[in-house]
Amino acid sequence: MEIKLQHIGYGNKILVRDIAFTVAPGECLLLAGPNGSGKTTLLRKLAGEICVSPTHGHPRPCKREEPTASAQRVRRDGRGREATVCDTPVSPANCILVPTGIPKVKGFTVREFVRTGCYRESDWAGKLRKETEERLEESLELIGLKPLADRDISTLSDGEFQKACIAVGLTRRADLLLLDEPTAFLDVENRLMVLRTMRDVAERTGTAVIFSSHDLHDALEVAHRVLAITRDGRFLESGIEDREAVLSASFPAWE
Amino acid sequence: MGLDLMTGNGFGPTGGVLLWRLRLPRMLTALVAGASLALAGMQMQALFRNPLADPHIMGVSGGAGLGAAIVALAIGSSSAWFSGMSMAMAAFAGAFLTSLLIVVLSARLRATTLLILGVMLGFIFSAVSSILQYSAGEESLKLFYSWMAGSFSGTRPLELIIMVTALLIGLALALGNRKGLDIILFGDDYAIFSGAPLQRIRTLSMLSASLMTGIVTAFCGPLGFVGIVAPHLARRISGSSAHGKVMPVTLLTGACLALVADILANLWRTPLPAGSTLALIGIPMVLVLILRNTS
Repeated sequence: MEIKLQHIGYGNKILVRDIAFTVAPGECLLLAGPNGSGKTTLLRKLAGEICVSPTHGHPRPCKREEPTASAQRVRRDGRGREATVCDTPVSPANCILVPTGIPKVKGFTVREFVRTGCYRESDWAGKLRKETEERLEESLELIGLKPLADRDISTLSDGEFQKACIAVGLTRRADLLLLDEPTAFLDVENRLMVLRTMRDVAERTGTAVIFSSHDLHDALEVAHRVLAITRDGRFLESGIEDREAVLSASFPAWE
Repeated sequence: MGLDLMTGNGFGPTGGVLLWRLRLPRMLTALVAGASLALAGMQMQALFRNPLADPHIMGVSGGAGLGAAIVALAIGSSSAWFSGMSMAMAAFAGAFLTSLLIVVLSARLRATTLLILGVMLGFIFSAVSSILQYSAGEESLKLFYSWMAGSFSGTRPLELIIMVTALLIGLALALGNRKGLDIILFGDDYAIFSGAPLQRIRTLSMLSASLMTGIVTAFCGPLGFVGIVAPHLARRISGSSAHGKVMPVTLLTGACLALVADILANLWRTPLPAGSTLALIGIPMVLVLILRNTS
């Protein structure tokens, strides 16, 4: 899967330029960069949802874009501000973004939570099609949550809940699963559990995974390769061997 | 004998009239009003992800009160039936316009901002109503205060039919929107990235809630607390927050709460306003819920 974007940004402000990288099925890529460098914006762009208000970072629903020829367009968000979208063909594959900070609402079992996340795949009553329901069970099995499927999500650890979020992406048959800081706020044990599950799932199902993280040491343990955004808005893609060199370019203090 | 008692024959002619003309319509009104307000509260709590959200908090009842106050002041001493009907219509218009404003603004604002806006609107409506009452005549004030106190009594068959119709439409909208109500509990971001049409979900739930609240408030006056308490009890009883499970229990709980409030209101020689008995039942329940959540 080849992804190319001229740049992403808001109004006249360009956050990242010349974005070009490839991601293979089953590959697990770390997206790294300083705070405010545009990691979340890039992930949202990849998920086809770029209508982001620059001030509040509040995503707004917008129509999924069909791949277009290289073009620069300016959209206006709900408050009339401009969000610049510059893209060459973006993958038409099924990209699914799991945002950070999803609340653990009491009164939903793990199975119900995953079902709820499959909005487009369910009928008006929220009932999944038979094959999607089967895929849900397979996803729970694969991710190790089958024994907890009937547990209330409010009783899960943060790590287990993050795995349930990944199960949503798997059930929705994502070709490219995008996770925005899946290990934020997790302790070491849960962090490693989630990261290892991600890589395991990617390798076993062929789903490509791109995740952003600030826990670089732990993330490098599972990431096959690294995508990095530098402070001055350059985009870097590493190979398998030069992951740390690319990180050094993004974070000069990285050793 | 049992059948006679149920049909009113066992009470003699006066008992029959009491049952069919007064008590049964009042009981049915309480059941329908309670179910409607509970369903409206359930949707608002999901929409604003706030356990204390209900049509009162969102200013919808305040809008209805302002509409009623305007008409009560303007009509003054015309016939009671005409005054009552026009006040009900004005109350509905007030509730509907407030809801419309909230629906329009919901496209631009986040849920929490919208909630604050609703509370502020309620205060403004209340202030304007107070100003109008200040300069109103005695008859107008009497009419207005009797509506404000809230009551399930005196509902005419046509009014009851309108309330049932509003409940059925509101229920149909809520049922069709139930997976949307589930997903917005997990936040706007999650809903959008799951492919849910956020604006449609908000509009449908506001339409459903405002239709039911507007109609019930128009005919029964502003009745608080059912909308807050019933969904909480329903979630506790059903052991779930999934709206497919919560919705039927919410309807039943709301209907039962209103009926109990009505029975309590009529235990006394002079019947109490149903709004007051609902508050007396509802406030301790809300406090228990808040304290439980805090602990």
